[in-house]
Amino acid sequence: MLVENLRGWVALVAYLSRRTLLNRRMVIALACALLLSALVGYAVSEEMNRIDDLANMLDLFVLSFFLLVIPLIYGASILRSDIEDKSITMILTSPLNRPMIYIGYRAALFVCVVVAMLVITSAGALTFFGLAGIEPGALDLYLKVGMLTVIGSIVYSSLYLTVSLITGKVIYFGLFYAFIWEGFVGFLPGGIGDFTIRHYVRSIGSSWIEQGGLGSYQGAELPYSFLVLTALAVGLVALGSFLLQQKELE
Amino acid sequence: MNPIVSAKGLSKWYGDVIGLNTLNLDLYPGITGIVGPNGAGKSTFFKLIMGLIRPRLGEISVLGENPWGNSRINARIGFCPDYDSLPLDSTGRDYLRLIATLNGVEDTEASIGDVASTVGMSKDIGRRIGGYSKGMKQRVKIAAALIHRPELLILDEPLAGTDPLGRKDLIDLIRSLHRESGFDIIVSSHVLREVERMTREIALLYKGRAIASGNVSEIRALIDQHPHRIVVRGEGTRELAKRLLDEGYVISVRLDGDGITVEVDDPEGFFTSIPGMTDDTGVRVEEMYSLDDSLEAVFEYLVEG
Repeated sequence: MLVENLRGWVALVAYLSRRTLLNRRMVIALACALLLSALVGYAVSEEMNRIDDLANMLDLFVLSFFLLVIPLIYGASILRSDIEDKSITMILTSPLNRPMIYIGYRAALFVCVVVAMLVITSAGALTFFGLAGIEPGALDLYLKVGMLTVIGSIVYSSLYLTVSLITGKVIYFGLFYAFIWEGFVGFLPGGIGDFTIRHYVRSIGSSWIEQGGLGSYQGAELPYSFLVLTALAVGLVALGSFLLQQKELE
Repeated sequence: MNPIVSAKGLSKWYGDVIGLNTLNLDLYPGITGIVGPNGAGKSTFFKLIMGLIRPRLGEISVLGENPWGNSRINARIGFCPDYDSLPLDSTGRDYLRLIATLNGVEDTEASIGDVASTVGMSKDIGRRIGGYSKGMKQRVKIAAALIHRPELLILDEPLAGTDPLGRKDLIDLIRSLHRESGFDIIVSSHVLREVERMTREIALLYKGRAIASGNVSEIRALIDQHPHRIVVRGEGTRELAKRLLDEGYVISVRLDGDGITVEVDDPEGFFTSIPGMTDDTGVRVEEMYSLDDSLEAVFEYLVEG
């Protein structure tokens, strides 16, 4: 039974990932993001102090914008739309238990967000490398930002997926969280920024990266940042699993 | 014989709307038709059977188990919902492959071939679902419910939206699934005549309650406790109406164009005496029929009763 369930779970993750990545609206959104990223890569390649500017570009566009928006776009729809159009029925009436199903959605969302984020990050970085050549430290910077996007993707997508089980207005929640809470309130003095995911992602980044504003960021200690993000991601997945288990498909 | 589904005092409501109201119903192996108008609680009952919602009050047991929070039981049940839940971008084959794998089917390709053949979709199973007709979508949904060879099939309004020919084919299919493949089937519809063509075992739901259940003949016997309506058409039916009002078994007579509708509490007495009365009054009867021959009438009577 366990092997059959595992096979079913893998099939579910593959199906959801493929369906979400190939969704026409998502493909158009991703193409626009790619274009923007490549444009920024080109702009930075024209600057004098290019390695610091590359770091700032990746910080601003990838870690502070796309990392908040892409998980929101995918996370708001992957599970919520299936509940609203009731197509989740075929999955909920399978022998997979609901926590497994939730984790399946969670895994598919992670795959989609990571693929999208890495493609966007790569578009900017490769444009930069193509035009300016690969400077010392640039490839290392690109790889470390790539790892930060993977870490951030796990936490942000956990947040949006869980919220999508609580409210159908997850887009509004996400826009508030990303642009008001993280983008504005998080910068107010008095340590409020400690209550943002971005703070801990940038804290990890500041331990890894020396260039640009990220290199001089005064954040939390590396182990503490990892611990906070891990606890948050695990807690959100546990909460989401519980919520789906209690969810009635009316 | 143990019931495959047993509901005891089962209630479910959504805010102010009552889905089921203290439903007591036992369903046994075979084909059982759940009949009732829209809003009777059929889909709510099926969602409770499938564990998609949980009861507010009462208990439900499916194949001896409580379905809420019990995903293991899904391996023993196949569900065809009344709403479109199909991924329109997928092909029928891809969809069935996913359902088969989710349900732990070993040889998925062979199983897809089998169920596609069973539901008469072998030729079109490789096409995009978005291009299917309503009848084809219903067939794919039934195929998905069958693919893991469950013990019990739950078919919620499987005939809805299909054309007359498609309905006939689906009725034949449902009957053959029980007769030839041995599935126990619970099927719902608000079209009573069609349910009657699938099975003799029915349960009538109305406003969330089971108002009658059992063999159609047994339910028909209940009609005797209620008035019958008989339509008589022809020349001179007004004279016949006057004559009928003197008969003790006549409750009412309504003039209706060139005919009359007679409500009687003893249909046997009516049909015995009508030839004599038509002779006496000189009425030329062109047409005479009971409005209560169909299951629709049984339902109406029981609801009114």
